[in-house]
Amino acid sequence: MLFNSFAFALFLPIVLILYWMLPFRAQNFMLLIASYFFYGYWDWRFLSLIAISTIIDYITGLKIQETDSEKFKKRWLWVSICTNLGILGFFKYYNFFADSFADVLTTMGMTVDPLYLHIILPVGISFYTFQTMSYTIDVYRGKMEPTRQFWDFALYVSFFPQLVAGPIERAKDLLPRILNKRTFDKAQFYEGLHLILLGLFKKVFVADNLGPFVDRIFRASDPSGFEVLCGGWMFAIQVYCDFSGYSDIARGCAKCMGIELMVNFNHPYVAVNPVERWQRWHISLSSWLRDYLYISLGGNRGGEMKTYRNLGLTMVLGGLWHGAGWNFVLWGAWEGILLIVHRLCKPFWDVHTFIQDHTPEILRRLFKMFMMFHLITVGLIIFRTHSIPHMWQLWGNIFTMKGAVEPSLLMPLVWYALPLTVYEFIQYQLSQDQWEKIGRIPSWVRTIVYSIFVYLIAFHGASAQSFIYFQF
Amino acid sequence: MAKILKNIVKLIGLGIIALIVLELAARTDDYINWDAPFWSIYSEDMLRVSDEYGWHNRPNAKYQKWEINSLGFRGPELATTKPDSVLRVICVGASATFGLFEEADKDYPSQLREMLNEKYPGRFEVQNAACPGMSPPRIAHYFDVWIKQFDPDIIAYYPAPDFYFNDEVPTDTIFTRPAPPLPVFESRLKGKVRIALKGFLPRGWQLAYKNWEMDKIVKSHGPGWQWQTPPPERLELYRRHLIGVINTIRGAGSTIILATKTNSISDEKNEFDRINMTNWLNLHPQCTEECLLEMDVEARKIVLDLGQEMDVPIVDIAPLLPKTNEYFGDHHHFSTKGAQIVAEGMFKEIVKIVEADSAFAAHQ
Repeated sequence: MLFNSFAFALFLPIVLILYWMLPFRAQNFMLLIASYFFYGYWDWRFLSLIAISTIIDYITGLKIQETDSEKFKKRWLWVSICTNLGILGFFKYYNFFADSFADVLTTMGMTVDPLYLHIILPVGISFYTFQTMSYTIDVYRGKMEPTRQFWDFALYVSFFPQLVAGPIERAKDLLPRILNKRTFDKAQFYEGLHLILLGLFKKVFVADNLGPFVDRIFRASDPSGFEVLCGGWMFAIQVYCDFSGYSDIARGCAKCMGIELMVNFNHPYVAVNPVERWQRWHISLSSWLRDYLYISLGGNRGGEMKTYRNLGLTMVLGGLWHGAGWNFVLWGAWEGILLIVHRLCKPFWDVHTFIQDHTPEILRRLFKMFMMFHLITVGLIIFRTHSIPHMWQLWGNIFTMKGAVEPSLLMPLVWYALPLTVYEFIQYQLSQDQWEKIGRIPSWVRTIVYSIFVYLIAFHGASAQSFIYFQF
Repeated sequence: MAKILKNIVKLIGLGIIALIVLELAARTDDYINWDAPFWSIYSEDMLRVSDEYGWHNRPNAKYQKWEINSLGFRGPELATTKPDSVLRVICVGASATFGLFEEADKDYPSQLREMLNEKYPGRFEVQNAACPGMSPPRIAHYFDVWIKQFDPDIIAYYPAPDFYFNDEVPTDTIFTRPAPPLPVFESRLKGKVRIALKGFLPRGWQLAYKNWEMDKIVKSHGPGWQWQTPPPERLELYRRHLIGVINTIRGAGSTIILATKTNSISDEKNEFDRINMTNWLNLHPQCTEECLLEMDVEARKIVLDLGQEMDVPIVDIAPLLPKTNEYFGDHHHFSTKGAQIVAEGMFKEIVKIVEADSAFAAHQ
């Protein structure tokens, strides 16, 4: 079920009304049924995968706690990891690896006909497998106690607002919120509605309207350098609004039920270096990769070279998490290289130069933001491209600035992205207190602002498009 | 109690503010997109007028992509006196010719103009004199009182029999009913909400609602009210009126080209067909599905027969247009691609006519 669909417009109010009418225990049970309905509405057959993950992780969590033997704890942990990664690997990566393996053999002079399977990629599989894995890993590491409440655990795995595209919530954060009683808070409810509206605006008005322009540029046989640059900018805005819009709606829905979800995006394009970029972009995934992959690989504990290796490997695997394709692997590698180069050059950042000493801080920050945004954009071209030669062609056209410059290409950005950019910039500049004061403006002023948002969503939004991150 | 009342009043007040803002937003939107007047009426009805010339396009009217010139045609301005060595083609008809779903300036007469100008630069003037809702007798009347003064050489006519399958059929005598005056205020928001809902509500729901409405009408009339096949007297009337149009146009010395009418409903009856069929049936509740489909088949036969009997050049559109949503916007109105095929059919026929004309050839 898409958040921007008629079905969801019916579903959410019904769920909210039932939710607040029911007593606490029944609330969770109703939410579980609603979450399974939400997912099964797309394809009920794949509910079995969620159920398998739920049962395996529930049992392994308990088994890890019950045993004192480190060997058995590890064995149970591997049961969980192998089951989850097995499901993910089969449904998401089987054909990719079969294809890549055949390619490797072909380059070695052997001809093979790989066995392709017609596998449907279950929506959100990457999100909920990572979410459930974090539970068993945290139980194994002794960071949390496993729960004995099976139905509540099942709700943690399948909680519909964040089931198919995150945020990837840690069990130690979300489970207690599910296990504890919630009380209706009007302010929290309104904040939830505000987030839903903002998320819809980002998705329907900004992302979906920029989509066709991006498609046209990336499908063109030989776009000019300026076209590719505009396409890259537009895609950067599109993918941000698409994904952060989903996260906002997810957080808004959960807030309306008195449940807080983590902030997944925090003005990512104001980042001034690759580290800050990943502290602001898809925070739930980047922190997952840091805590469960990078640290498991050794993190920065084994010297500089191992740190670079770990960074690179984490980002490559993070890229692969986004999709079964070499472009995603390369995109991950690009992001890894940025992190490594940033770390390598870190000592030089602090050296005071004449220019640094004589340039206002704000200008230096803006310059760094500008540079970082373009490094992200160049990386996103790899993400969006459909083949490696295509990527080289697009990069080549940008760096040689091939063809004419058509300023009219900037119009979609001005029309669709500028209002949100202004909104986000103001939000970024103000402190939390100041921002909350803005939120307390008279209700008639808010009504005017919201009405304009509603108008743009309803009459200038593109028709229901699926979220880009569903494919992950 | 007082608090509840206060909240209700506040809610109503905020609701009114929201409606006012949405209405103002709709007007600003129209102003930015279509250069529409901000305060006065802006609706499709502005495009048409009913006066001593009958039901026709309002001169100089403009609504969204549709622009009417000072003579009431959808096309460039036209001098009353035809320049020497120029041939005038005027396309007449109803909504399919006027153009609903095509991109701006891609209705079939516009595309025909482009084609003719490319082959014979400066030799042709093509106008779109069609008006939605114009039945054959009204076309004959409009030609007589207005179009013929422009001395058209060729009249291209894509006729539709649909008018003959309503409660009120076109009559031989044209009477002009004054159009109801435009309202002082009309919400722009309302129309936009209707369009947005069409895109948002599931199609199945929309179809079920339309079918329910249609069933209600049919049931209110009792059994036997619906036509299972096209009534012969209606088809005969259509035929008689087409003869009237042909004679009127020929009487003024112009050549008429007739086209056969077709629709988008394919034999597959896919989702697109079901939606279009339901919408079509909604316009003619007295017809069953079979009756409507048969109506177009019979109408085509009538046009082909008239072509032979009265020696009228015919463009048989029906077999040329694939029945898919690539070529149609609804049950019978064309998309840009569909209009292109109609224009190509007309173009070939016009080329045939003018190439056979020695006077024209002499100017080449």
